Amino acid sequence: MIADLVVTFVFILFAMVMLLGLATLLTWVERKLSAMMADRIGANRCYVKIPLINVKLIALGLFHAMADGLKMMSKERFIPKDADKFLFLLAPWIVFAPVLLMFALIPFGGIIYPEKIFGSFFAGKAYLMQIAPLDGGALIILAISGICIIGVVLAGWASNNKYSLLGSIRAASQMISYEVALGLSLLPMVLTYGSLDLHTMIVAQQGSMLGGVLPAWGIFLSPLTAIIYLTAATAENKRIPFDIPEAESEIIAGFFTEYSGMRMALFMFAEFAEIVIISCVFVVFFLGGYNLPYWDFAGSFPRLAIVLWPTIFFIKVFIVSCFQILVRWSLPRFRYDQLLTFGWKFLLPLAMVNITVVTLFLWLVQKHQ
Amino acid sequence: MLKLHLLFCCLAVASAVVMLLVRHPMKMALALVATMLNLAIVYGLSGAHVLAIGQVLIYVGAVMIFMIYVVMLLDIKDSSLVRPLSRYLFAAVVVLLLIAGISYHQLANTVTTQTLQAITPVGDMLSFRQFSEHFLEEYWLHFELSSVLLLVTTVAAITVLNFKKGTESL
Amino acid sequence: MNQVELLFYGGLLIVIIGLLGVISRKNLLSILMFQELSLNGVNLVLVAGSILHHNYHGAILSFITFIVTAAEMAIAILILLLLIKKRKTLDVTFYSELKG
Repeated sequence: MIADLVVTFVFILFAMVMLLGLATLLTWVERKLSAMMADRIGANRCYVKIPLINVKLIALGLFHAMADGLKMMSKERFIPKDADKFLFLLAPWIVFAPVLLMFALIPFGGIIYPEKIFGSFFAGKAYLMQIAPLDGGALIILAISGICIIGVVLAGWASNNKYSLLGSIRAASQMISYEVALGLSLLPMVLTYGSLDLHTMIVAQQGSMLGGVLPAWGIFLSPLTAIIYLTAATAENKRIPFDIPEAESEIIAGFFTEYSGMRMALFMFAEFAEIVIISCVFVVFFLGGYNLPYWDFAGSFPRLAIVLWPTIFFIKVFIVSCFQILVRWSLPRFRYDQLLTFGWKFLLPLAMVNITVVTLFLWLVQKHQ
Repeated sequence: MLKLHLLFCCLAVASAVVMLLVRHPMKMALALVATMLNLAIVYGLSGAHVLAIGQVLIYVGAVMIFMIYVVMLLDIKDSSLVRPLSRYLFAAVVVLLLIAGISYHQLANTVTTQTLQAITPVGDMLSFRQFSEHFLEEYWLHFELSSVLLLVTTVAAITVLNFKKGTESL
Repeated sequence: MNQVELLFYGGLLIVIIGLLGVISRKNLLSILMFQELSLNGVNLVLVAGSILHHNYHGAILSFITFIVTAAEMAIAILILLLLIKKRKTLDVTFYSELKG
């Protein structure tokens, strides 16, 4: 019992540190990547001075994230006079909490036996490197991500500002529309792997296909599904090219116009944490999770696996996150009607056709076996 | 384990009571969301994972968000918020108490000590695989009919919207 | 107290609170929400029955209730929007044409 608690607590701590650390790192990546794409230098001023010797640590501008945090904390905490105070203060947390909660479902490693390393305290126990190993993981992620919409709507409505209200109307209709496509885009992979459990999916992606040329990853099994998922997920996260809820040139900052200081930082941070979550789900569904292709390292180095699994998983997550930021700086913004038309009249039918094709294909494969 | 059940059941009932106490529809909607989430936790604790997820996905994720969206769009300030109580409250409460008494009596008859002792633990019964297999084997007709119902609803909604555009009088 | 008993009486309590709300409120949106609350209570009782008798019927029925509720809500809110377009109010006392 105590051993279980210790292991779960360590997992939660590790997951929190990784999620928040990656989200902070991504703010830096966003600055640097946009600077590179615009042929600028980017963040390079912030430094930490080592005492006594006159050395300034710049480290490529990595300390800008710390400076950002300090700046946000020292800002005035402003509440509009006519705002509904309780709901105004509640809204950022409703946006932020589900994003953290979703991470509990992500498996970042295989089954470990702590007895081998830490001795008899963990005698005879095996743990899956996942905070909550539930049998309906894929559905739970979808269910929890739906709660964020309430926070967005509340933020806009409670601040009693025309721009905020416009922003949250846009955000709500966009998120409702793309949630359907998001759910339908994950369904073909659930059918292919024959399970809703995220760890079973990763296990199903081990090995190779087409005579050992390609790893049996979801992205090679069904590339269209991966593209639909990434598109719908970007729209759920309200980033360019789907960023009309907070389009700064039209409605200032959308639903969080009236927020300042750490409360605004929560909204921004939720956005970056959601990039990480989207990448995690993408890696689990389409990129084989914590495994490497062609080489079963867990079999060769069973003791190192506990370190190697999370490392590989988070490197993959980082690459997918960088791809999302790359997309954000290369595309223009949709118009409101174009966005809804794209969602309902193109992406949703495409996802349905995709499901039909995958189902037919699986049926044929089953029949010939 | 039973303590957790009790805690979340009490939380659900408490947020239902909050719904009775607040006036504005937005706060009521939030209290209702809290009730639903607590009920989802109770389902999860009882081993009915499918229903817990259905509760969050369908009730909170679709129905309540639609409701909150409408409250946000309407921004109502009318007499029903100033004087929210109906005129026939007294008579209604008497009838309500009657109904409550009868249903309590019926429930207490159903849940006797003999039936309670016969309970076997739920185990895997309401997990995804088992539940879905039973659902689609025994109740496949209901499943298909519910999809027809959803289709009819969509068609009805679109028809009403177009109807509004076409004719002025309704 | 047994788990099943707890679920039964909790469900009954929620149903009654929902009914009380439907009776006492005058705002149409509030009435709809209390109706949802009652349905939630009924679902809880169904699940408790499913556990009590150790079969699937209650759980499956409550799952179908989810679907029906979603459909019902879509239509109900549409009707509500049409009513507001016509009368500009949500107070049910103003909708009394059918009173004899």
